[in-house]
Amino acid sequence: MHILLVDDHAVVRQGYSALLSMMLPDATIHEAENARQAMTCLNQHAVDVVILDINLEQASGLNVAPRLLNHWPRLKIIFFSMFEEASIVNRAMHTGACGYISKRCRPEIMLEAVKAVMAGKTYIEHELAINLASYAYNEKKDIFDQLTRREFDVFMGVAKGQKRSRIAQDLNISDKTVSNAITQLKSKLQVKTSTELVHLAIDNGYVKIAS
Amino acid sequence: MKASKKITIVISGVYLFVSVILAAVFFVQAKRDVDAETQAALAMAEALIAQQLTFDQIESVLQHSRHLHVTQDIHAFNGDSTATQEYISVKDPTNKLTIYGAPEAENAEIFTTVYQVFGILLFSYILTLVLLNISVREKLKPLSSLSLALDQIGEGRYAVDVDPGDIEEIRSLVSHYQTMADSLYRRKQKVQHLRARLATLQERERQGLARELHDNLGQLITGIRVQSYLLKQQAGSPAFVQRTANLLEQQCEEVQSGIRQITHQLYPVALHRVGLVVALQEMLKRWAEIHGIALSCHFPNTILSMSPERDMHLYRITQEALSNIVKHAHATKVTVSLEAKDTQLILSIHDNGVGLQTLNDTHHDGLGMESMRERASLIRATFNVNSTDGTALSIHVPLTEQKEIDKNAHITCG
Repeated sequence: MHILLVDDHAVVRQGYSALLSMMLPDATIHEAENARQAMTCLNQHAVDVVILDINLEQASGLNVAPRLLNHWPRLKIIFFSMFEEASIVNRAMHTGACGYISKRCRPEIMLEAVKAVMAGKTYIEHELAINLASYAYNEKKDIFDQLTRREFDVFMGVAKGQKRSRIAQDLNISDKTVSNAITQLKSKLQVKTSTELVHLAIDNGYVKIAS
Repeated sequence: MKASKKITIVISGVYLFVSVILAAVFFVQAKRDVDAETQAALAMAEALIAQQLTFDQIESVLQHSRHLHVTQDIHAFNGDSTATQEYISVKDPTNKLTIYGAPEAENAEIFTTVYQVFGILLFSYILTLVLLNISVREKLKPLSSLSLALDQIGEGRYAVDVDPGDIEEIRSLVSHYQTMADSLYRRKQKVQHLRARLATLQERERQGLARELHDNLGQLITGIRVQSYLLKQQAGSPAFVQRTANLLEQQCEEVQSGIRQITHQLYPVALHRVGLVVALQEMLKRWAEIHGIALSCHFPNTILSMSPERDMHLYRITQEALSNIVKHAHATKVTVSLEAKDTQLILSIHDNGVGLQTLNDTHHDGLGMESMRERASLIRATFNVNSTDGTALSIHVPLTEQKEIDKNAHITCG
């Protein structure tokens, strides 16, 4: 069995790597700091489970997961994050992941999660699961659901602090389209300024402020 | 005292005075007239007697006279010739007739004139009083509306909606009050606005710190926790225990360092005690050491006034700038200078890094840049960014207070 740990915080990564090595002696534990390293590792090894942090330096785990699943559809992704908000858990699970655990959990939970997803089950940490159920029950609309693919891409561009021309270039669209999308974004997400968009992105785990 | 009452009193006083003067004049004049008339009548009566005319002749002469009459009644009057205020009488020497007259006509004439004059005076007095009272009350109405409107300003309603009427002085007064109310309103808005902005700034700061705790320290503790768990599992293996204990110690140290950084960010204790210059120097030295960036400082002023608000914001701006340099600039050398020139305090921070993508275009400011701009404007400073050779921030603060001595400013940084 191959397990890949993707987390940009060295202490956490090393600690859990040691934990998994010790408790799952038959498994090979790989480490990656970011999406790029993760891809490299996935290309080289037949990884079964990816333990993925959301708050990564360059790209959000929420955006990395779908990309990984695109290439490796049978990959089992467990989100391992400091974010505990039901809306974020909800969105994370919608990317196609098999599990979600919080970094405040007992270390044993990580092991339970890996065993569960290897057995084909979904694993969401107990407390988070309750929150998630209440959230779904309240039928609260996720504000990001109303964004089109393009609007979301533009949103990520703005969140990363890119200039409009750069966003236009990256997405292969015109500057005017970008401007229109931004106006739509502000209206749909109910914010007035681009700065508020950035804050929204940070609060929802899409962008990390470099420390 | 009300205007109308005062006017009434004054007008009444004036009219009374005029009446008294007029009465006196009339009195004197009347007396003279009466005397003159009496004398003339007496002379005429005596002249007639002297002519020794008959009763019938005298009667026909005097028939149209208003003043003199003749009678044959020798008992009518006493004495030969009398002239009193009430009548005159002249008896002829044969005592057969008497010419007499009473100044009633004259008196009547005089009284008529007096009545007429005083009547006109009274009428004009009343007319004046009524007219003045009415018009004063009418024209001064805007003043009571104005008072009401000004009272409302105290309650927060700044519209001075008063019809000033057509008196220019009152129009001018109302117009000035409206201007004043406007500027009060705008001042109030501005204060509210500034408060909101300051609150937002503080909120962002708190959020930033919360994130720092969440992202860094929280994760460090997670790491420590898992190591402790492993320790439990491998309690029997001394080598493992040793290794893990070392790791734990290291990681705890990292937590401590993180906490210290956060507290320093939160509250640079030094600032108020030693002044901006020294606080900056110490902070810069620490920063340069941690990040291994060459630092050059220029703090030429040994005398620098203290202003808690301004100093705090300048300190934070510097912190933010340094943080940006670490995150984005990839610089190897940083120059910081704080200098008082003429009426301005100039803070400059220059790094030899990659420069910014955007310059003074505020639409594309990152969060850090925006908070720096915000702080600068809160202390009424100008904030300029130049990206031609690395990045140069320049903040100009107007100096307003008197200078005090900052006794430690001569310490230089290495």
